Amino acid sequence: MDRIVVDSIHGAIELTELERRVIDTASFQRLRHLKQLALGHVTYPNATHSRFAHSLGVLAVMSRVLRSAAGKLGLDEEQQQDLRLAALLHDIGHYPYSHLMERLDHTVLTEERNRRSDRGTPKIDLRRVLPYPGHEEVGQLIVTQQDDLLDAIGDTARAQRIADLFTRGRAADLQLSKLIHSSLDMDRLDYLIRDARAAGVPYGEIDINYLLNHVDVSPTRMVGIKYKALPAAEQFLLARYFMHRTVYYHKTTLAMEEAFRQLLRRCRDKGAYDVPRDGSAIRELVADRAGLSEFTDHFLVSVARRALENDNDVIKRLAEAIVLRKPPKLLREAVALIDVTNETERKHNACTSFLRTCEDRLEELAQDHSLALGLFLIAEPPDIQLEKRGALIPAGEAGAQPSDKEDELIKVFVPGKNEPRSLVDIPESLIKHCANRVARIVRLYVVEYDQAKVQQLRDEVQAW
Amino acid sequence: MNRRQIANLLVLQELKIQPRLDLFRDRLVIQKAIYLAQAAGVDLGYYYGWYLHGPYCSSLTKDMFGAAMDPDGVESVQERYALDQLSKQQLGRLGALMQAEAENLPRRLEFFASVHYLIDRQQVPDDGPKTLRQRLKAFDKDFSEVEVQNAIKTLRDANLLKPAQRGPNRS
Repeated sequence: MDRIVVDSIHGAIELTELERRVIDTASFQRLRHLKQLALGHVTYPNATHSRFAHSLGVLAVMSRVLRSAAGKLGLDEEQQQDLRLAALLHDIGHYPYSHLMERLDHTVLTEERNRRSDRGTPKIDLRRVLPYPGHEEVGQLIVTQQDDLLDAIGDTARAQRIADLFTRGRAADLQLSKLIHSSLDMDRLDYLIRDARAAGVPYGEIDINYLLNHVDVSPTRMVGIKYKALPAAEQFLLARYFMHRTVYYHKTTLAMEEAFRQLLRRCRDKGAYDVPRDGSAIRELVADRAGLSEFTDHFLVSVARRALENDNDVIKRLAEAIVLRKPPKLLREAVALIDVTNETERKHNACTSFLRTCEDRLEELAQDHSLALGLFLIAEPPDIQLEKRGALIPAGEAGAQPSDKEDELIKVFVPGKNEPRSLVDIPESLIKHCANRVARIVRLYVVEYDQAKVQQLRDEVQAW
Repeated sequence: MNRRQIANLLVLQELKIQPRLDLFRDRLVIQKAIYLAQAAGVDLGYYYGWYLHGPYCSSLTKDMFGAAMDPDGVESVQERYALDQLSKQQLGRLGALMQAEAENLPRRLEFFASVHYLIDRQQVPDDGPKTLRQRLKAFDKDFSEVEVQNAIKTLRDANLLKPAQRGPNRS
């Protein structure tokens, strides 16, 4: 190994010369300017760590897994190096503020939710807005198109092979790809601890050393955890759940992120402040060296700053909320722990009924209080699940049919068996009994700071 | 429900596919149908990787599960929104691929989507259907060379493969 980087989580991380060259490229250095937790720092001031540090952390985890498993997997040196580079580069395609911008096409403006407006039959023109590509696709484009990375990696074919590893693009390398995405989920092993320590909360702490010291490989080259590490594997999944409840979905962070998302959607619709108009604009941007290097969190901060001068009141007030750190106020929250195998519960629960009420009554509430409808924000973050779900049928029965992503479920070597089993199929595992449930959260906020008015709104909404 | 979820449901409706998620075969049909819809030019923004059963996209799974949790239900969306004419025309090109009895549809769509993926992503050498067949066989998709050749022809006839690109059927 050529170089050592000292990391606050993993200690000394050894780098090869090739890795050092990749890290030194402008394309990789961009990750220093992407915060891992997007707007998490508005709630947890120390949560300013970058995707750069996280990427090095995932390389460190991969390095330890390879130490345990490379021999049994029969990987040669070049394959191991490719896997290490894929781990290092797996987040290279992230957008500014990560999923906040990437999921802009999923953002629904509050006016668009209004069920009382004309419910004629709108035409959906799929070509009007080409969706933003996901970060995996952007990562693949960067690794295979940016000259600095191509020069560092050495040749285009190898760059493509590495990109295919982290996007699971290549049929021929499925076995290797699995290692990146496998049940061990090296990405998660690093980010849970890193995010928890940066935020200063205990919920993401996992026994990473115990887990990594108990990695094993089956005769068919399935990677799993030895049975004695079962509690550590369960805690790993539970830690992710608690981190969502406390850190990722913190009410203040979510409020700011929703305000930012709504602001960006509005700016994009108006063609304002250089917000990329669609997926093709994103693809052009990341293919351009200068464009890519400026595609950082700062780019979005500058959009918000410029929007302070906008003549649209909703845009202006959303921008103020972000730039001046004036989080929208929570009016009401609905939380449900839903059994996804029960269709009635899935469709009719505290969250769905609250959403429907919001859609029915928000316009009237806004009018009564002389507020623009766009100042009410509905945050609907993705459901929290303990383990990757493959069906809307009970986990115990799921084993009777193939799972979409069986190779990405956590695997455990049960005594007496050569091949590992999915954690969700082990009867004594807590995860098996919780795997059918997802936690769902819906929150209604308002961009308003007059305490009396907020309280009045809160009282009315609570009474719905 | 967001725009992408609505668009997915409308595309599936146009292709006469039920947006059910209970069974693996239901989800497989949805995955491959959306993959082929994108190949036909209806860009829904999904990026596919390769899994044991061919092209697969995690984001699509998440969006479909999200739609399944919506109390309004599929019917409501399909009543309230409609696809534009051009998208309908593009999806019309998939007609020949969709012609199968319900029980055969998963295997058929998995086959077409897999053949398209391997050619479109240039993952097979330019030496005829033999290598393509072997690659498919490595993933438990046992098709004859004639079937592979016919699949390539069907995909080309539907204009889903660019004539100039590399692929085993390039003449």
